[in-house]
Amino acid sequence: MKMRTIPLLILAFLFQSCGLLQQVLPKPDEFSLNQSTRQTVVIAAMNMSHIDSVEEKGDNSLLIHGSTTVAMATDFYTNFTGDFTVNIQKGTGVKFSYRTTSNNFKSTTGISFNYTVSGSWIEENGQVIAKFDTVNAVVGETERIQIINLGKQYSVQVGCNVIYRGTTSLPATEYILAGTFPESHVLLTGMDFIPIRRADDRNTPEKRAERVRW
Amino acid sequence: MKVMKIFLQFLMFGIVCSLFGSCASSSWMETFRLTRTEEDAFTITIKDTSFTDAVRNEPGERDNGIIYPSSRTLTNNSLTTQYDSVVERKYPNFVRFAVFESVGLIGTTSSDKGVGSGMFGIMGFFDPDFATITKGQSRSVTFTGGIYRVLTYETRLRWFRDAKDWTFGSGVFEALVPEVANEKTLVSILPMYLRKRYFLREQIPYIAVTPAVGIGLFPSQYINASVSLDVGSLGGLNMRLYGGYATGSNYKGNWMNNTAEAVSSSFPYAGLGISVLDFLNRVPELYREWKDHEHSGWDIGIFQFGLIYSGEVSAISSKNPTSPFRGYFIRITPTSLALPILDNRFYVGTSLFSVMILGQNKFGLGVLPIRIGYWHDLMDDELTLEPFVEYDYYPSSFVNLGARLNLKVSNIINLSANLGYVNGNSISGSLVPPDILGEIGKATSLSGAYFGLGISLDDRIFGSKELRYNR
Repeated sequence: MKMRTIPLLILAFLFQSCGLLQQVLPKPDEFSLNQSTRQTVVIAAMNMSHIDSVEEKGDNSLLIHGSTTVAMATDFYTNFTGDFTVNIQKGTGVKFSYRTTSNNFKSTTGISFNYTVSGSWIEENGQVIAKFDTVNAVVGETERIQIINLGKQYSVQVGCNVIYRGTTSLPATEYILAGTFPESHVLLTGMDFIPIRRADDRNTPEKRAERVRW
Repeated sequence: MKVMKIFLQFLMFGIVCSLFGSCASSSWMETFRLTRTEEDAFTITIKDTSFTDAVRNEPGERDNGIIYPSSRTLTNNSLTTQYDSVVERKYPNFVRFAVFESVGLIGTTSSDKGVGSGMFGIMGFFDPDFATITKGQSRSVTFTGGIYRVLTYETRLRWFRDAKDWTFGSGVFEALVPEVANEKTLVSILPMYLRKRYFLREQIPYIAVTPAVGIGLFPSQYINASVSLDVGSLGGLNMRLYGGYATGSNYKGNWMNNTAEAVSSSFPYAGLGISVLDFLNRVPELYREWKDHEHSGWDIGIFQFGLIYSGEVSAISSKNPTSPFRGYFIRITPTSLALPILDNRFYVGTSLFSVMILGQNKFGLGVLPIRIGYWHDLMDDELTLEPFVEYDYYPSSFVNLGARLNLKVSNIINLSANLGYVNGNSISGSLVPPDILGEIGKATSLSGAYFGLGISLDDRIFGSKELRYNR
């Protein structure tokens, strides 16, 4: 083999091994939010429904059509405040699910905060645990919703009011999933996941046990 | 023939990359970033009594009524004990990955100028007129050309509003050989291909019609458009019926062209191809974890090697003719496909190349031999016994009746003890380059018993529960 072919072989090997192809090809169901906003962490979002059901309106804005679920997560931050500015442009409303993951997601797993024009309610594993008849969404009006996950505790704040503070034994996850009710159009803007605590893969029971020296 | 030399170098490169890759990581699939890993982090709170409550009234007088909370801050803190749990899931990250593909072509040129690549593009490698034109001798070959690809890779291309089954792919090496003349051969590293599959059968083994268009940039510049009927993958084995047209050129002085000027090369072709270690995933399978994937074979690998003892003079070292190791066997890309009969334990297998050297002047070579055997678990899936009979029909003609005891060390390494008897004819030594034969010598017959100890690299033995027939 001539010497001049060796760099080409190395190039070929690098090309094959660096996964370059996956990096440059389009992924129409994935979004990165807050990429140009330096103050906040980047939120990875994935459309779990038809690719046309979510429109990326900007760096921090998604228009979600009816019966659509968008998973949002940051890297390893399991205790955090999820901050959304919600505008229901049409239809019934939106459901925010947390303490669950996008993998094998079902709307009846985890905790969900349902924010609709006919009132709001919180479910845990599909069971309604709190109802708020006076917390209504108004079509076309903007409202700020914050979901705080900290340890066993979580709270839901609509506008300036903490409407619910609860505890759960469900593990905290990186995710908040926004799912729209049928025929709804919901605009989410100003999304921010404010980190409180980052999970550490050295803090698993197995890894901790491995570090113990007898 | 120059292109075959380059091709063999690339094939060796691919195999070596795969083997080294498996040493560096847990699997060669990970080496080539063929696995997509997803992680989910969970935080489990064992103990949490922290609580903070605050009521703050705005200053100034108001009519607050009789019962009204006064401003206060109530804080109750305690320790929080939290564990994290990180769950990893591994998925295939490719639509197609193939270690080696070859196609025997017809119609690329006249039969007297053809390369004589043989069926599947490899069953003519050891024929006397392969890639050789002798002046004054009439010559007629059926398979006038060949296509050879090493380490082909395809990933999902999600364009046209996520239209189905488009892929974009490349590979380490591709050669389109229309005839014996080197300057007419179109060769490229990292050719780029667009493919669209129309599945006729959506169950394993898949059947698909695949139009493709690709370009090669270096060292040849060419466009290759083709349509193929693909059958597979089944244990990494695929068969393809090709039709297409390639046009391009070799500039003056490149690898293939030693003439004084650029040479253009255009040719239509039709052909029959085979590929080994060629795995195809449909889109839903890209979202199925590796551990849940279906497998069709008992054993799929890249390389099996063993040192053997026989009653012959040692072919390994002429200085020590009575060495315990008189010869060796090699199988490149062995595959054993389970047959869905009698508890799925009978299998049919093959390999790209098979070499059996009993001793000096006793050797046989096989291309795509046929092996039939029975897979028996002695100790779960860890220790298996595999009686088999293998028929090597080209270029040597011999039967290998044996039994193989496999010890599964890991998912990529196995040890084996082999016992068997070989009987048949060797190939004429003149058809194998002398520098390959070395001390092995030249032989015309092959007969004898052997016992060998072997190691298999990048060779995965599947458990009975992993077979798709048993799911």
